[in-house]
Amino acid sequence: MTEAVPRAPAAARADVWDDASGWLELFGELAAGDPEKLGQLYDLASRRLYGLALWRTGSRELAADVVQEVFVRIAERREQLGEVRDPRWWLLSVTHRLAVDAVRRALRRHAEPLDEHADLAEGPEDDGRAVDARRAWTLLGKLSAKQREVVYLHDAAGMSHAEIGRCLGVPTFTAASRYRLALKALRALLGSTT
Amino acid sequence: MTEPHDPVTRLLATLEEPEPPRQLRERSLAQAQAVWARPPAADRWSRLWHSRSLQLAWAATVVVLVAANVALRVGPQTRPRTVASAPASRDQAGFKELQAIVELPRVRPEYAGIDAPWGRATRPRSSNLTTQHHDMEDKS
Repeated sequence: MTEAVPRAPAAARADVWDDASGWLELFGELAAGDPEKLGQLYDLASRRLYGLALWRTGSRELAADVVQEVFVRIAERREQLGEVRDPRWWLLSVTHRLAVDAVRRALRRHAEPLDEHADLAEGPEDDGRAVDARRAWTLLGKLSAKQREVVYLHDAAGMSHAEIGRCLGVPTFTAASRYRLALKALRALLGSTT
Repeated sequence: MTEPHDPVTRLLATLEEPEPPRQLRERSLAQAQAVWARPPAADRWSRLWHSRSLQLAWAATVVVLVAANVALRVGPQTRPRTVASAPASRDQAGFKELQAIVELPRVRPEYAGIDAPWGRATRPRSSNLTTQHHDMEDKS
């Protein structure tokens, strides 16, 4: 399996995502034509983008393709990056759209539901995670892609319903409603497994 | 900090952002750098503006419009008079036919009085009609 990357503490990562000015500065430097900043952007954003893509597609392979495509998009549109109002939502929205497209393409190719062979059911890759985390992954793998995505953004990424709605391009109410339905489904799944 | 009692909340609290595969960094950055080295992609309007086929389509449209405009302005003056008079005579013949259709029999002079009250109607001047009318009255 893949080599584990040293992980930054969750609080530190949250701080990075909370600081809008840092992202604007980084996008400004990319728009000015500094390709070296791509590495810095990858280190800051890749975990959240990969997580979003993974929970939307249910496949590690597709999620990796999506993240790669996001960085290709950034390179293609480097001249317009300076006009992006909030790079954080822009990145998450692009990732979400590309993940949806990737699932559609995969369905056209294979003509079978992705959830049946979802990598999510296997749980986290490294063995250091708690049993609860593995169980959470297994249960969440049984939810619909839309519900999984909302749960990931709310509980793993720590985003509010309004932020989730902004990122997915849906009203706040819809995001909250999806989350509520996901919790209901999880309760039912937990009830059936215990 | 106290642990949440709700099992779902407790499970979700363990969720973390997953770790991307290590080779993904090199792969993504290499791909992005390759695209970066190419000239930047033009936006949609620039692509439309510089499109060869679209330029040809615009030129063809302009030529057709100008040609049609010239043909409509110059065309009728160069036609021979005999051709122009034919539709006029056709129109006149058509007008007479139309007039004959539109003209109602009762407004013709020979049918005057047909709208008079029952029993007092003045008889038409036609001899045939007069005879038939009498025959009908006798039978009743």
